[in-house]
Amino acid sequence: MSSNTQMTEGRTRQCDTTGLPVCLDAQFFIKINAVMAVVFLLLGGIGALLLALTRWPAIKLLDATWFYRILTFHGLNMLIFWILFMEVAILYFVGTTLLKTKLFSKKLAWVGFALMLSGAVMADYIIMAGKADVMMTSYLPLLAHPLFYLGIILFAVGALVAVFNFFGGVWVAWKSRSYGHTMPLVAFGGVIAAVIAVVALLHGAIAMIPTFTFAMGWTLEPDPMWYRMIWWGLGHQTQQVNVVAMVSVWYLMSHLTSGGIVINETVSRGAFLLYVLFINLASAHHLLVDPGVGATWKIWNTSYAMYLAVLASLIHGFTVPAGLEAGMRMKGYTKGIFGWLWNAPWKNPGFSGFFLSLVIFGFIGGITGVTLGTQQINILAHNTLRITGHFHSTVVGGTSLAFMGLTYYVVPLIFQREYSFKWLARIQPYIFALGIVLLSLGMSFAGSTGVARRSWDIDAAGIYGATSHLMLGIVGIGGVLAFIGLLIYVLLTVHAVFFGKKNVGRAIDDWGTPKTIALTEENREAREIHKKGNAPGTMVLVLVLLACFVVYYFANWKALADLWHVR
Amino acid sequence: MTLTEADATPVMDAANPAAPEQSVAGAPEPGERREDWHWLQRLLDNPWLLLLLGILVPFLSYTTWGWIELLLIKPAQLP
Amino acid sequence: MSVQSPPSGWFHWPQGHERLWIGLALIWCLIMSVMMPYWHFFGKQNSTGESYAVHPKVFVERTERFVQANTVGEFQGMPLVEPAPGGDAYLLARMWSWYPTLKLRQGETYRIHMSSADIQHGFSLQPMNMNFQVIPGYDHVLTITPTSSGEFTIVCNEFCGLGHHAMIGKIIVE
Repeated sequence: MSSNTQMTEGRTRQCDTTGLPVCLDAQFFIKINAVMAVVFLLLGGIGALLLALTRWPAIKLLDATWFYRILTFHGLNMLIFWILFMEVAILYFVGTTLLKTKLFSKKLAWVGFALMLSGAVMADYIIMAGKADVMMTSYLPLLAHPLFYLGIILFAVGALVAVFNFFGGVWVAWKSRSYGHTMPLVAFGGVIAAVIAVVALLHGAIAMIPTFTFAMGWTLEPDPMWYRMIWWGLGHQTQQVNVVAMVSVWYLMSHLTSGGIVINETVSRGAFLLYVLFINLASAHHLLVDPGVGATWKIWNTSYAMYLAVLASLIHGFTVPAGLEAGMRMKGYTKGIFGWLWNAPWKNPGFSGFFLSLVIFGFIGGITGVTLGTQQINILAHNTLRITGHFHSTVVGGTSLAFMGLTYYVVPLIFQREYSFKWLARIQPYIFALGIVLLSLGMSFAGSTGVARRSWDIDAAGIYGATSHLMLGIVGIGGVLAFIGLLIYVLLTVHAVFFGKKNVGRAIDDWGTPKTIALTEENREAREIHKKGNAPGTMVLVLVLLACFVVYYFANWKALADLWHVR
Repeated sequence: MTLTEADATPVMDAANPAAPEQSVAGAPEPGERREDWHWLQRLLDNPWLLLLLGILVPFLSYTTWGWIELLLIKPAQLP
Repeated sequence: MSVQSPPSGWFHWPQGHERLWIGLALIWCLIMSVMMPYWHFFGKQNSTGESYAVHPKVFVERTERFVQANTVGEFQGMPLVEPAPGGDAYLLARMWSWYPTLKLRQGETYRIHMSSADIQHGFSLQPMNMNFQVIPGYDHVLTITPTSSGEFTIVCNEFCGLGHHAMIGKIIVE
């Protein structure tokens, strides 16, 4: 067993379920960051409900002013606050327990947390006070109150401090070889996410600081196109952090819920390498129909460097379910091509959250994203609800749902409290997933009929027909359902954290882990099929994915060809 | 022939850490030196190089190049 | 296991289905890599971002002169302006209108200069669903050929304040 001196110096405990070492200082910061994450998720979620009930034409709940205000609030709280707090919690976990080292600095952890919290509160306050109706993107020359920018700056700096704290721990662990030469894959994913976060947050500082000083009247106005380009360095690259964090969580949950393995470490790590090099380039896909930046810059960057980062996603799209398949086969579930899948623990919310996230991200999010992110097809889609439909399937149906599944293990393992009303927890991921899928598809189809994003009322234009209205109705229904799923998750989690049965000194309640069965000589080959890199069930699934991808991709080029000619 | 607990689910198996007799996980085999490792393996094991490359590539390809594009814009003729 | 350091000797190349899939995915990625440059040279719908730096006041003034010189009537309260085929046209976005209403001929090519008098706007032509960003300080030029005729609506799809959802323009094509 590798050296444990890092862990025994500080205060640690050994997990009663996994045997892994838990640094008690890191545990504290995992807890408070995870709690804040859920608080901001709830705030953003209430915003989501109000927005869904407004874009649903039959209901039109909010007036125009409040719609645009809550839209700003919702975007910021979901895309930045909820998700970055959760990712900081994840980094504290992987950076200590998985690297077998203690928290690098308690002071830095406090500073980071305080900055993130005060920044978020400041931004939320000024939005609700009506002084920042500018959307999360706050595109210049639209101008918000200086506290809006300052709040975001503080939050970004706080997150950078937390990331620095994480790298400090990585440094100590690396120097002392506490994890050997090669860190566990989930920790490696965390490192990649942290690198991308550094790039994203630096862009945030570069965009926001001169905008803040301009809002204060101290400096000249930054150029609007420059602002867009730099802002999306923050805006999209934080979403790439989400992709990498989500994939890391997939590997973790596959292991925790079903004994999923890593079939080939080189392949999985190689895919993460492609991410860290190229995934950030795709921020360019927000600027594809903009003036100022030329075709070559647009095409090269939006292609993630010849789609090498997309290749990475396609690779994880295979290795994650294949690892699950291999783990299940090793337990004896070798019947047919999909025995491993039918017998997976679908009643385990940690599993269903993870697997639904994988399917939604792959089939809806990934395919639409890559397609809409081509320079030319973007002409059809930019600023329509197709874009919104796309990113709700990635960052909500993908990352957020995976994080929800993760929480069902974080609370028992880290907070050492069990969930009550487990039956409700078991169905929560399904409710949320269904809601988000309806929402996403409704938005995508509405966007295809030309409905704009960030628009309070489609009837003012007088050109949208029955299909558009129907699709927006589906958006409303999906949004309500997703909110119900979100609320259940929040209430169950809050209840568990404060009132859940303590499980100190014993392993956590089993949500449902497949038992090992039928390990015989007859099925040995079927059980060990992964040793040759084979996973027949997964192969079928990814071929279906590829077929869907090809069809959707070329259908869009065909639709593009029907447009007026433009250059 | 049925096997027993050897491959029980790791989650429920607190007393059985994964890596058996090897001294340090990922260490060179006896007789093999670190220098013999493939360059890709050495890159993947080096978080600092990944940090450097991960910052450099997007800042050059997206940010710097994009900034230059904007700086090179010509004044409008408005014919 | 993904939560443990891999045993030494973990580094090896893919095999079996894994290798097959990586190969297929890579081929698909290369096909996609070719599509955009291909369409750039041979396709008829592109967004090259052709643009020039202009002061908003100068652009507003140029648009006014264009409207004076080419007005042929009125459409729903907005001047109806017909640019010369093959020539330049000007379209100004401002809170909350698209000025003027252009009258174009199907099959003719025009260079439409778009910019904003104030903040960012989104040019979204319906029902074709063609979308471009309009930014103050930038003369965004679209070399465009209408391939259908009728009355087309410009919707604004970049948030620009309380009148945003009602910011409608028209283009007439004969």
